[in-house]
Amino acid sequence: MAVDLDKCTGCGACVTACHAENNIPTVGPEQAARGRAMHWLRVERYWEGDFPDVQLKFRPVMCQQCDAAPCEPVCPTYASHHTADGLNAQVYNRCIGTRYCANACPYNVRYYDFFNPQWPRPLHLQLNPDVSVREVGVMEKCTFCVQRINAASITAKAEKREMKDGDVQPACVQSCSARAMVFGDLNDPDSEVSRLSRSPRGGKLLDDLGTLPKITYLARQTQV
Amino acid sequence: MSEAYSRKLSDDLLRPLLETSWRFYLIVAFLGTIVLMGLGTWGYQMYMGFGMTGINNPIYWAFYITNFVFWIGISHAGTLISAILRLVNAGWRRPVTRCAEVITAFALMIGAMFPIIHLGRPWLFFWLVPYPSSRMIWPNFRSPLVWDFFAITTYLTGSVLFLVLPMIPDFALVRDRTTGMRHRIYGALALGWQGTPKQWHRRWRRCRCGTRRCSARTSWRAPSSAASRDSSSRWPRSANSCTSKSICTRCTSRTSASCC
Repeated sequence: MAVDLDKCTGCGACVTACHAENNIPTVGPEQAARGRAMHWLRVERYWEGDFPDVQLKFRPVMCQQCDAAPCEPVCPTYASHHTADGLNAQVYNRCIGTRYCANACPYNVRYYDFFNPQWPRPLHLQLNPDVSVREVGVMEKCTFCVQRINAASITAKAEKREMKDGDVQPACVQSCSARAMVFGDLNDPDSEVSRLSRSPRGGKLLDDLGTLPKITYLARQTQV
Repeated sequence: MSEAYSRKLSDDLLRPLLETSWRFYLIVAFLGTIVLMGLGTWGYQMYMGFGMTGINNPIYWAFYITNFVFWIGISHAGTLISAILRLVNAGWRRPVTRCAEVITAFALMIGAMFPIIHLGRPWLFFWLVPYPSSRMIWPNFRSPLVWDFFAITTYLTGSVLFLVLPMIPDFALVRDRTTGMRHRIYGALALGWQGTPKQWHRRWRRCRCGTRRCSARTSWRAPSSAASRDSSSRWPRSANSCTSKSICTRCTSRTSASCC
């Protein structure tokens, strides 16, 4: 995935779409104040400069789907593991809640179910049937909407064709009104996301940690 | 040491084991209440969710892991005391060593409890154990949490062996002085100990734990008079002569039985 920070307006549509798509529970104001809010995708906000010359910057942060993910080797049960597609997957059924992965994650993008998820009626009717609801005591995180990836690959297989660029759009990409996010196959050198990842503006989050994140952030252009 | 005196000595020693005062029940009631409260809060935590413990993002590990490390540290202290006293071959070390080894074993058991309490879904803790499950999913051996499992198991096995092996003659002593259920329990723990020279010799060799050079200098203590009289009908009469001077410094593995 590539995220163009120049285009991001910080509207938060991706956060809402992510919550709706992935059955992420809302925890309420008290728990959120304790830092237990669960946003698989969060929009970080940075103020720069002194008043009145302040500049506001946004950065949507979700699981970076690292190639050398620190969360994977520490999981004792392989709940956090690497798929053949290169996704950094989380098997909720296999998770026993040691929370080691969240301790290891430098991006703080893994979220723990501190309580059983609850949806005030009738919101429970809008749960996505493609995504399991996680029970108390397991770790969860952004999956790159793996249910959409799998559905698209099944469709492509049924139509006897290869998956092509643009077949899959995670909920955040789909909802981004500024089209700041681009999702695709990094192994395909002709895909749009590959092209953007090679951009000179591109950079990785906490690159010096050596986690090899798959998300490329395209830096803002400074206006002279 | 006269027969009557040694009998009185072991009577005094075993009195807390064989007689129960009301103070014991008071302490058990007090500590049992604490244990029940702990179990209750753990059940509450499992029922309500881990949010009850006050941890939050991004500090996911808190006092359970701290407690785990603390108790492991306590048990290391027991090992350290016991090991140092063994190494310097202090003659007065036996009761202290026994206390230290009991601390090692039980503090380790308490410590091993905490990683399980710490789990979000503790009823699945056995997934940390390497066993051939039906789908052959093994734990991730790269994970330090699995190393924890191995470390605790190894350490617990070792310290329990160190605790129990030297205690076998004492179990036999208690076995010979009890009846009924206690007799059967201590009989099982004593592993058929009769106090024969052959058994003493073997026990001494096991407790030496493979450090031949070190143990050659370790003096071998002959059985205490109480133990030998009660639980060794076959112990040679001449052997008891050395119990008055209870430390035999010339013993080696070959001559340990006959030289005393």
